[in-house]
Amino acid sequence: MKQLQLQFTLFLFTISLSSIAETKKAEDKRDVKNTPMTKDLSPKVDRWAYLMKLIDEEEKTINMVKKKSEHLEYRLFELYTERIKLYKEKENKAFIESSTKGKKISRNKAFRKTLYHYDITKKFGFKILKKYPRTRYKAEIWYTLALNSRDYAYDKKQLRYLKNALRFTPKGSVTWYLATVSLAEYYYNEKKYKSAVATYEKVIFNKEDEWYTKNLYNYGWCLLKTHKFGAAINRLEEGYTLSFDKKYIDFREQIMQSLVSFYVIGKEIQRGIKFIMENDKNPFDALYKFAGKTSAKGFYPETEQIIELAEDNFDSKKKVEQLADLRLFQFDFYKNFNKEDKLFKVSKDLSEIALNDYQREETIRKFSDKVRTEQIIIKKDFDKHAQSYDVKRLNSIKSYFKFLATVDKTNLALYEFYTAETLYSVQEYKESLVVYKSALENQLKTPAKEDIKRKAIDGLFSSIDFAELSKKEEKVELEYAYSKYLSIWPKDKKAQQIYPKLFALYLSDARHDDIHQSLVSYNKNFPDDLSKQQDLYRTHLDLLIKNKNTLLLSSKIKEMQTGFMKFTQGEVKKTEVILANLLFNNFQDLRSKGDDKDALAGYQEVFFNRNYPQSIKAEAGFNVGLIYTDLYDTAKSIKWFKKSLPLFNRKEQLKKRVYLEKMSQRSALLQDFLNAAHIQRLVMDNFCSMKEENKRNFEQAIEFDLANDYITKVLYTYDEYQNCTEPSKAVQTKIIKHLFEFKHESEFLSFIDKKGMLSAHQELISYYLERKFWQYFEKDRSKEVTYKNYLLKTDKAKYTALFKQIKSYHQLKKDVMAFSKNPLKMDKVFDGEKFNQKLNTRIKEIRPVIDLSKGLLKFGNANLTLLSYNEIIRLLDNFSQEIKSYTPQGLDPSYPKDFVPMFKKQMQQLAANFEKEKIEYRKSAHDFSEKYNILTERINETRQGYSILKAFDLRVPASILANTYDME
Amino acid sequence: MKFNKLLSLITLLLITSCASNIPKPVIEESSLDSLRAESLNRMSLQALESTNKNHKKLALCHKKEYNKASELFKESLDKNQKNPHYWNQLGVCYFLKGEYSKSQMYLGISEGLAKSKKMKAIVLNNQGLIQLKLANYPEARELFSKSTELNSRALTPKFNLAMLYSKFGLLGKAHKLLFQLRKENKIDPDINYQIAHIYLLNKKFTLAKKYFEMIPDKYLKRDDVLTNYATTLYYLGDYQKAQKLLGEAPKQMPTYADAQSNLSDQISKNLE
Repeated sequence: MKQLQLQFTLFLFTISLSSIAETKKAEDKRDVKNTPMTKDLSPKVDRWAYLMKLIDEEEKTINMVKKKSEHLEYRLFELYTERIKLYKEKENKAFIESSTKGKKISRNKAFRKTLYHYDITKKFGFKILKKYPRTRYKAEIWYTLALNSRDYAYDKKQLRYLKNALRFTPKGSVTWYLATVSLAEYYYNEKKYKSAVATYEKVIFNKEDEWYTKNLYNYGWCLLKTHKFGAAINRLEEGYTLSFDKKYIDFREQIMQSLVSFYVIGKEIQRGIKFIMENDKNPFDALYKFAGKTSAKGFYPETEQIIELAEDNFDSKKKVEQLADLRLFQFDFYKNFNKEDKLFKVSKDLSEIALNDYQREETIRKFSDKVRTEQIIIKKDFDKHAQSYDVKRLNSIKSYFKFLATVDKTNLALYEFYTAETLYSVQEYKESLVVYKSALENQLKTPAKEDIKRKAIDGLFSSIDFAELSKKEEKVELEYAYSKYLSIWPKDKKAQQIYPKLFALYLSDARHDDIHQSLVSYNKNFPDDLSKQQDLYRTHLDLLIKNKNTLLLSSKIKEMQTGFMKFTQGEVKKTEVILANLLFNNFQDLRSKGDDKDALAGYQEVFFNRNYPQSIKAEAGFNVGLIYTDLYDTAKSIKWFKKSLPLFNRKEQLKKRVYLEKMSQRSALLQDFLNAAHIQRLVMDNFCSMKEENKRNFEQAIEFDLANDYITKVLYTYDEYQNCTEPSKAVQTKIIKHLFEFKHESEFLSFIDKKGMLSAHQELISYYLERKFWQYFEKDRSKEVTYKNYLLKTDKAKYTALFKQIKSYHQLKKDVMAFSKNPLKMDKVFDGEKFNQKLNTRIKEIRPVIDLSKGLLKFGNANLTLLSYNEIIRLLDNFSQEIKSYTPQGLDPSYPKDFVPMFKKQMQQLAANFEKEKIEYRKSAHDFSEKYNILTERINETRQGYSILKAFDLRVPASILANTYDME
Repeated sequence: MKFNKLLSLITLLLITSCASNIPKPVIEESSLDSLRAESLNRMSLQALESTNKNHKKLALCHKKEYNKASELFKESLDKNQKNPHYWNQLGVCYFLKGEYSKSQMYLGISEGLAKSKKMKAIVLNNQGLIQLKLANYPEARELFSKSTELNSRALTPKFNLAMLYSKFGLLGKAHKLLFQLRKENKIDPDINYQIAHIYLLNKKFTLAKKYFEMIPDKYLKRDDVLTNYATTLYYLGDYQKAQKLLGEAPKQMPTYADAQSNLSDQISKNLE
């Protein structure tokens, strides 16, 4: 009972295990990792572990039975066999993994557990055989041992085990059948084809075996191997046909794969074609393989025929792929059969159709091989046959590279490079040049697997050298090559040599922007080559100078000023001077032709143009000033000097100062004192701090304005520019003298009123003040007082004394007038006695008046002396006239009749004395004047010839008779 | 006061304008002009036209063609910068034009460049003329004197100095200088006139008349000469001749108008 229960349990268990195993079998492509096997199992259950567990559990269950039956023993044997399978599966997977990782491990080690369990199983099987010598499972056991040996141990015991299996199983049984099939397969595998054939013939009748199709397949192979081609084809065709039946394993693919070979080997190609076309619904694969076989065996027309059929029988779902495969095949086919035209056509086609990755790789490989071969041929021909080559071959090479480029777009650059290399090898340099360029450009856009940039550029340079281009073309190409090289390898050693070459190239075409950029780049990447770069820069400047490109030269100067290329200030300045000369030479020419207007316009344009450096603008503005000076437009010339001078640097300003001073001189010499003075002031405005140097400017500014008699300006300059220099005594003297000589009285007085002036120029100022005083003396009282006060300021002591004498003079005048106004009056009745008394009194009265003049005459002032003389002479003249006029009145008759004439005669004599005295005084006055050269404008008694002049108001204008001294 | 000033200014202007309109004394015959070798001042217009090229600019100034002269001076500046004669001539031109300050400037340049005493004498004379025009008589005297000292053979500064002395009544000095000048040329009308004038002022009427009679007729007919001669004749009692002379007065010198009128009235009275 217990045993029965156990058996029932085992039965159930076995069913469950079997069902699970079958489920597993059905999914033989399942991933053995932790993926769900069925919907019933947990997702995390390992299939292998699970199966092993089942085996273990069943084994355990069976081993619970102490006395096992042969059936159970056999079951155990089966379980052990299952276990080997599982271990084999596991260890095989590990073995493959370690092999792919490059780890080498021996088979025994790799399949240790498999072999272990194989051994256990084998021993167990032998044990069963020994224990149950007549067991019904004998043949099965031997069969299983044979399969185990075949599948797991490789111990070459398969044959013996199979033979034993056959020996112990009745013919016709399943085991016999299976063992015979296995034996046939054994012989087949051992290449014992005859034995295999004989063995297959025993079982080939069994059409019930689902593996019948496989057996036919194997049998067919054996027949083929035994050169029974027709029979072999028959078997395979049969197997193929039967594969359509679901009863059998579908072996169509394998069979067809072999059939196509069989047809070829059996030389039954047309049969094959017919069979395929009749039986294969999607005959392409078969035809494709067939074509491969016929081609390999040299059946050209047949292959063509198959190809044609294949072309018409693409699988609609796989057409694209199949077409490509076909073309690939055709490529090899035509190549092998040297059908170049067809090969080319197919290649072209291949390059245009869609390809999968593998096909693409194949295409690339095939094209590459082809083109390589062509290259070798063409090169050999070229070397061998006096540098001639087959043009068609060259074109073919070019085309193949194009095909390659089409198929393998990412390596377009590489293929172009190869094309260029090919062209170069046959000395087609012009063409190779173009292609190298294209290769390079494409390499830059889409880098190929190999970096061909450097090679391409080398090729480019070399092609340019040999291409016999025109100068113009060569330039274009070199420019490309140089600039491309530099853009890729700006800091390369070769680049260091290329920069100057590129520069020279641009220079030859006067491409200024490019010239500049090339130099910037050179400098940036090779800053240590500064000296060379400076030389290059200079050559550019030379070009600009030669072409008189002033605007650009100006921008270059600005560049230099900012420190570009680190030129010295001296060099920058030198370049500025050159620019100035270039600009200004034109304008100078205009001037020399008398075209001042255009010259002005030219200079002004330069001045207002922002593009020119400041120093140039300054020079331009200065030149405008010069032109206006020559045109006598003082205001404008000064305006322009004012504008331009601040733009110069200090050093230049100092140079210009010298120039301006000379210009001022010249202006003065050219009779333009206004401009001359303005310029001197301008100099002082700009150099006010140079006090010592400004002395001359100050003096000249004043002198020039004095020359114009421009007093307002003189005094303005004097006052305003004192902070720029110390006014010298000499210039003060000049101003004082001019103000006096040119009758600027009020300005004269204001000027001498300045601080320190009176004391510094006392003698001169007093002299002038005194002259002015005497000029206004007794003519203009207010001016007389003004000058009197000034004189007292200059020398109080001296002039106090003078004015004291003048006071005496006034007294003298008063006395003279008083005397003259108080003549002796004749009595109505003449009384001689009385008259004599009166006369004596009168005569006595005159003396003190005359005596009063003596002090004045002694004082020694010329004007005062002459005035005094004049008074005395008048006094004496008046008195002598008075005396002469005495006439006695109311004479007593006692007086004689001739009393009056006698009286008159006496009076005449008396008057004559005073007349004589008058004449003496007059002579003294004349002598005094002559002696001391006194020039006085007062026309009075003291002047010689006064009576004649007075008589008719005669004048003596000396100036009209004065003569210029013109000639030497 | 202000009115006086205004009056003085107007008077000055009038005098200036009158002076500029008074024809300068001209001696046509070079033989009569003792200063002909030194001065273009008394040359006639025709004579000025034919001066040599060295004095072309100066001649233009004497003809009052100042702008033309100025241009010529500018043109020849560069080769004459160190030439004192050039600057002297330019100074003279500005003097003649009445621009005395500029004249002074250029004569100053000439003086600075002058190396010989002769040249310095020339410049000093012309500087003296400026002072004379500006009525700075002491300065004028100083300059004329220095000029004669530097070159005692120069006649022009002597002449100018004599005129100055004569103006200020220093008749002895004037007389001396005039006689020195007369030695060089006895028939210079201006010299003889000045000598006659001095004799007149010194009341030596016969001598005065003698010198007046040495003056050719066309030069006697100048207002200043004529008036002085008529005055001499008056004092000699030759009223009719004096009156006749006064009747022929050209009346181009306003400063002699009063004298001519007064004399004529007096002569008329005497004739009555």
